[in-house]
Amino acid sequence: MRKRNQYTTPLILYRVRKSLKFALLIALLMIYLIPIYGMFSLAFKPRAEIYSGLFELTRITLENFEEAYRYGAYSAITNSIIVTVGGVSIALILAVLASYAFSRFAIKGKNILMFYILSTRMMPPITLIIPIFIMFFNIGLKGTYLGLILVYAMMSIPLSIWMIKSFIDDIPKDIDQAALVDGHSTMFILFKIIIPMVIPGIAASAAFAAIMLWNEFLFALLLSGVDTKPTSVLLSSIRGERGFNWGRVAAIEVVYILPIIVLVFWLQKYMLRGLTFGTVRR
Amino acid sequence: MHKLLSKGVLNKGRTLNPWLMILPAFLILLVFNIFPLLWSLGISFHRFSVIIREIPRYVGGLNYINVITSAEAWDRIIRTGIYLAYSLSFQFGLGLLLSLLLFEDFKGKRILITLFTIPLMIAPVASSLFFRYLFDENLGPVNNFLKHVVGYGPLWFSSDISPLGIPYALFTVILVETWIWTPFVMFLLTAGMSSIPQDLIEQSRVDSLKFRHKFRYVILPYIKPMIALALIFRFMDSLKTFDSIYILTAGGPGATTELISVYIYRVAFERWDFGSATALSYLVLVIVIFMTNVFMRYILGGERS
Repeated sequence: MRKRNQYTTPLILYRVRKSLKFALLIALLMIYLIPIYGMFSLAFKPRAEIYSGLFELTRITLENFEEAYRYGAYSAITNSIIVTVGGVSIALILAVLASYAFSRFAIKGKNILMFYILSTRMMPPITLIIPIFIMFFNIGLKGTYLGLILVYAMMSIPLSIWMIKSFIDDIPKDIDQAALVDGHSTMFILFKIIIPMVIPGIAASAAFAAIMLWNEFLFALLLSGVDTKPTSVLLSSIRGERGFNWGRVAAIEVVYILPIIVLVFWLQKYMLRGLTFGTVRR
Repeated sequence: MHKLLSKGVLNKGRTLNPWLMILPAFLILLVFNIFPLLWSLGISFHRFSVIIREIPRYVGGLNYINVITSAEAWDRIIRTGIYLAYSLSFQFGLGLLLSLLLFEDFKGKRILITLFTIPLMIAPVASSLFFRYLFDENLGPVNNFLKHVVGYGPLWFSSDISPLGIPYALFTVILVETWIWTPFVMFLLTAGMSSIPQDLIEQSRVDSLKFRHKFRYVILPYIKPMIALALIFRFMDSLKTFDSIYILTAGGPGATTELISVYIYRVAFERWDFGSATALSYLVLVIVIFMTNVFMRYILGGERS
């Protein structure tokens, strides 16, 4: 490859060009990640130094985290965990069943149903929120964990169905066929044969759904109560205060985004499926 | 494999009705998605105000007429259009640049891509709130830096007109949205480029194609479906932009950054005019469906990815 290149462009020029490209890429990455770095650096800064340069981190302190704790970050994070885990668990159980049926059975109207499920991705959430708000207000689900968990299950079911179906589709149908010939029931095939084979895929789907719910803001803003507000709502309520402490904000943000950053590294392999709703796979 | 599926061979010998497996998931969607969607359509034909606790009154298409003839609603729609034009071109421009820089393989490419995708995955609420600190007009690090270098820091959250011809507040929103979403475009385009056959790349090298031609004849045909897909996703999601605006500017100053979704939110939950809000959101839904079809038809040319 390189030999051929010598005929077309001089090797030196080729190398210079390549390293220039690489340098540009690294520079862009640096600029790109400054806000993330800033968040972490600010969270560990003493209050007096908050506006004195983003990069100098002379003294590391945990006082921002203590203050965030006193401010209610702990209960907000707990609430976030409750509604996220609740929503994802319901969605996952139901989506595994449905996606297996979609993947393996000939069902009348399957394409229409699958397209409807995909189209929920297009709907502006604002269309749904008014009726749901009225409904929850009237039946007393507003401000409860259960209400938010049910809405979150609704939000993550489509993503989970499409993604898990894409993983199940990758498994040859001969395996089901063989198990059927052996006289196993559908549930046995699903839980004892298929699910163990797609565990990583299911985990990735769960992680994508979890990230979506963890970050969700609009429904949480309108449907959560004083005691059930998740982190995103807590952060937004800080916005309205005057003269608030940025160090504390950054501390809450760091606790809020750190799990996601860890997940992103693991999810890299599945990123394309996750971003495109499982419609593109490799 | 497709043959087997379409003939429904796997249905044979099963005792369980597949509908039973779909039903639980479908029930949740029915109650919390289909039903609200229809109810919402119903509300849009009623006069409905929560504060005065009046009984919803059927008014026919009055809400729709009000919305379509309202100068205020059109102003928000035009703002949204301007926002879409700028933020999508920034995201696609930068995304394309990054994916071209990532075109050739090198050690550590994967980790680099992963690092780029972090902004995409973290909560817009968290990143937007931090951008408020970064762009703080008096003490923020960005203006601090600019004052040292060029001796002047713009008012990032004001309605002053920026060099791009749009108010600074809108520009800041676009900047933050670009920061969040460029990796999405980059990621899809990179995936498209990795599907180019190796011989084709090799051949273009041997022929020492100019970059312009290489892009036009080697790269573009392969990333076209991905561009369409990214465009569809970005268009839909941009219309939904709410979190970052709510945190950054809350639509202000005045209505400078009050894009359509923030506007609907305000009509619904500040004026409590549910009728107009649902009518407007239905119009947005129709626009989304229409535009998605247009993108599919013209860019993909009927083919499916």
